Amino acid sequence: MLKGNVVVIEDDEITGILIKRIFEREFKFNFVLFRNGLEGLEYIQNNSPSLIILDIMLPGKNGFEILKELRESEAHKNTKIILLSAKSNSSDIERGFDLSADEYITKPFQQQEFVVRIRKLMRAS
Amino acid sequence: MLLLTTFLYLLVYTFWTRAKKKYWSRYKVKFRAMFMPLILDYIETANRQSDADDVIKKLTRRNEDIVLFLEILDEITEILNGDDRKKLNWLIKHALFDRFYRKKLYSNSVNAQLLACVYYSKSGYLNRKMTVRLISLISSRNTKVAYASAKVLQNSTNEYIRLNTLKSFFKRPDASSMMIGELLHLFHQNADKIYQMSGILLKQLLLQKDIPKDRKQLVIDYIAYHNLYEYSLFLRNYLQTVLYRFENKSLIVSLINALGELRVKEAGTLIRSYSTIQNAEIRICCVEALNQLGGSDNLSFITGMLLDIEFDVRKRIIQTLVQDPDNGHLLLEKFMLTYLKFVSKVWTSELPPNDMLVFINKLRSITTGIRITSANKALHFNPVQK
Amino acid sequence: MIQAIEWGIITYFLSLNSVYLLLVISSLIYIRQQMLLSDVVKPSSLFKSKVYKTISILVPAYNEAGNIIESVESLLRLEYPEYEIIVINDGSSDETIERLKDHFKLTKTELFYKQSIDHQPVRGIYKTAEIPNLTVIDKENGGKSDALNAGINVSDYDLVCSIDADSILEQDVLKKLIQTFVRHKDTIAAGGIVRVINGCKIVNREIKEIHVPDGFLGRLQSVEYLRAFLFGRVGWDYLKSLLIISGAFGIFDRKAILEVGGYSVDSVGEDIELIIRLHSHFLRSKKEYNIRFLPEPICWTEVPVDYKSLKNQRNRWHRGLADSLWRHKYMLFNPTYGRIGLLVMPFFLIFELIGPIIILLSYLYLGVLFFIPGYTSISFIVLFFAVSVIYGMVVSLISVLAEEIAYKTYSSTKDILILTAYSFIENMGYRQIHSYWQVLGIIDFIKGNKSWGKMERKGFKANSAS
Repeated sequence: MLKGNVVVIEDDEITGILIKRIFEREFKFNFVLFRNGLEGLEYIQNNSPSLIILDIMLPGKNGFEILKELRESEAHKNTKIILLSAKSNSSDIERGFDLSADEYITKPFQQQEFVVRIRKLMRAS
Repeated sequence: MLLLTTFLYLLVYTFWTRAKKKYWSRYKVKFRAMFMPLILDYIETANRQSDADDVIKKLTRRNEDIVLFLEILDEITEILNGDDRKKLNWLIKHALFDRFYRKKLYSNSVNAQLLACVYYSKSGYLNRKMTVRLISLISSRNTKVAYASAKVLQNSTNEYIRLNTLKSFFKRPDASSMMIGELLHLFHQNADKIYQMSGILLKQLLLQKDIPKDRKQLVIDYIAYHNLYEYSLFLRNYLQTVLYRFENKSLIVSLINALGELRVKEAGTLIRSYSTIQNAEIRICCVEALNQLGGSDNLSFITGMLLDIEFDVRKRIIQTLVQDPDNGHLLLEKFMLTYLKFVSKVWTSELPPNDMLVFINKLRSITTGIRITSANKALHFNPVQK
Repeated sequence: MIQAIEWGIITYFLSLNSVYLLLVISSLIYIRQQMLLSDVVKPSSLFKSKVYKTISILVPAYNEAGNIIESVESLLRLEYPEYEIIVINDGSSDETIERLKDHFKLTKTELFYKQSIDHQPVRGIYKTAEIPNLTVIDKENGGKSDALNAGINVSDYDLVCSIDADSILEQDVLKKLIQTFVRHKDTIAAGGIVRVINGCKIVNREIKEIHVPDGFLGRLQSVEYLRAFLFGRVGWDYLKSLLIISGAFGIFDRKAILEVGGYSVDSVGEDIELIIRLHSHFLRSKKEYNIRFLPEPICWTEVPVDYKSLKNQRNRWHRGLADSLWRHKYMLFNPTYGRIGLLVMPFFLIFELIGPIIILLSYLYLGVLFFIPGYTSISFIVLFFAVSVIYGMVVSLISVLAEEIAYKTYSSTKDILILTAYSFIENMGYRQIHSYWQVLGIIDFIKGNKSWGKMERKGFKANSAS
């Protein structure tokens, strides 16, 4: 089983619970959840997660801003970051990849597919 | 004295309301804490429809519980799809809910009818008897009920029922454009339920006399937005039948826009004929449409419109030609060369007469516009045009 | 003779509070109607891009160096398909423009637009390729209206929004406001509910808890805002007679503003004046139009908490009202102007504008009564007390209650207790002093005072939890 620390920044209650269950079931990750962008970002900057899952529409600071700041910092240039969002316009997806996200998963998604993508991403490191 | 009693009554009522709300929100939290894991477990482990029964068994028949439960299911449908969604549907379509809401559908209370319609939109279940009832609800005095039942009817496997629903609903004066847009969207969705959509049904909406023009506009916008090319020639012919009158202005604008979006080359001549019309908004959309139709003839024609009397039209032409990836800028150059020669000739003689001055100022404004717009394009300062 | 005066006073207060009551009750009905499954009409399709018009947010800034970056950054976070922000630096004497240029890395550029409305000369326009929807205009000082007019000229979008630099907007406010334009065709202006941010707990730029302010004046204003803004305006809207949209946040159809010539530069109450002018123009030309109010909270603003600032603010508001009504006095009782001319403006004239004078005189009269030996008209005093103070309390309390029913935004019961208590206190002294300020305002207006006065502002940082 893959190991590591995952930080999830997501303000929707059910999505948060769902992702937590997925990680508990399929991976042996330490799981931390934040519902506010600024709080999540601060935590990330003081720790070194192996994986970050970001929603885009967040209070405090939105996902794109957080992604940009992380990629501009030395410590997190290469951390694996997945964007998870209900925003499914091609322009948003394009923007996500322009800002160097490793993956962009749109809601609604399938749990199995989600798991597969994470496995693939973590193995690539 | 009367006032004092009213006052005290209000005081008590306020606190009573708050207490009630507090109680319910605590209840809701407890309910969700209990059922969320159950539902999520179910999604992970269920194999058959009957597994849904196990979960439902734990639910009481209380009104509030059913509503809260469905709320959770609703939220999950926003997040999960595919196989997970299928299992979710087993839950949503369960007989318990169906019975609960079927009763409401036939009740006389507007609230109940609304709740029932909202449920059936999601569950997708529709039989003949319900259809009859829903059709009658479209004439309800309450807009939301009419809208909600129109939405449910878009689940019908009979395309004519879908269409006739739209016909009835679009006649209502209180239908908002958001509602209309949503219904049009649902009309084509789940079209796999319908064996085959026959031809261009939406044209009936455009030809119907008692549907207000602004609705027809939305239908046309919808057709354009979703690239329903099969409507191309119909729209061109339709434009020919619309007389130019003030009240038809928006309809004409929509039609020209649509013909541009759908790249209906056969409509070129027709659109050009609108380029001299009095209304600036129509002239602007001619420019945009001709630009979308493309081709050097159309672009030259647009350049020829550059001396338009309205600033907004000139600005749009300049923006269009500057943005054009091929020869737009060459046409602008040619324009400038032609007129600049003229201007310099005029200036070298004495001060030009007044009407000439207006013309020269227009030219000046145009050349300024070309300069600034081109510079901004190079610096990527132009936001994407809508 | 004395009888006449007394009956006059009683009638006045009775009618004033009854109208308020009517407004509050219609608001309540309307809001309940709206709330019934308001999410039935939720657009899920992508088609909404056709329905959502484009918006330019205009931010006039004068000496806002402290707040401006934070303000613009938060505006950039709004959720809306296509909108732009135009900041207009109105000849600030501090480093407003330098901070903007620095923080956003702006470069000077030119834009092609038509000078439809006149204003003080523009010194430069700044943009950056990284944030295509931000434009900063630097111009000579000309006042708020002048700055807004410059912004309107430069804007190329369907709707313009004027906002105070110290207002905080919710992220989905534009999506909410557009509903009004979608629901009612021919809408040319719309406003929404303004709430008091003092006392709210802001953590990490999120409004975590909503409480009443700590100070005496703050709490009074909370009740006042609920009554007058929240329910007063919604009520007027229900009766299709909206006259005022808050200056803190209002959204207008750009072409409509151009038609009437933009904001007026020499008016103190430019927001009211614009609305009245819009009514006047569209009624005269018999065009279909709608000016609506969205019964949902959209904007948070800081209210003054010291006596002097509050007094100045109310004085200015009242001068603004006087000025606007005076400019358009031709509309009063004039049938060409329909409901607005026949009912609404006279109401505002008699009850809102001149009202404070009558109120003060009534209290003076009451005071005088005590000095007349032997004169004891207990019934009058009791009746007076009933219609002015208690009736007022009832109306205020209903507003607090209505807020509970409709929104329940206050985080704790303690807040509601406080609000209830203050709906008492509001009527026992505050409204009377308020009338006094308003009378001063009228006097100042007649004298021709046009100043804005300073407001002591604590800024966003004071409200955040550290």
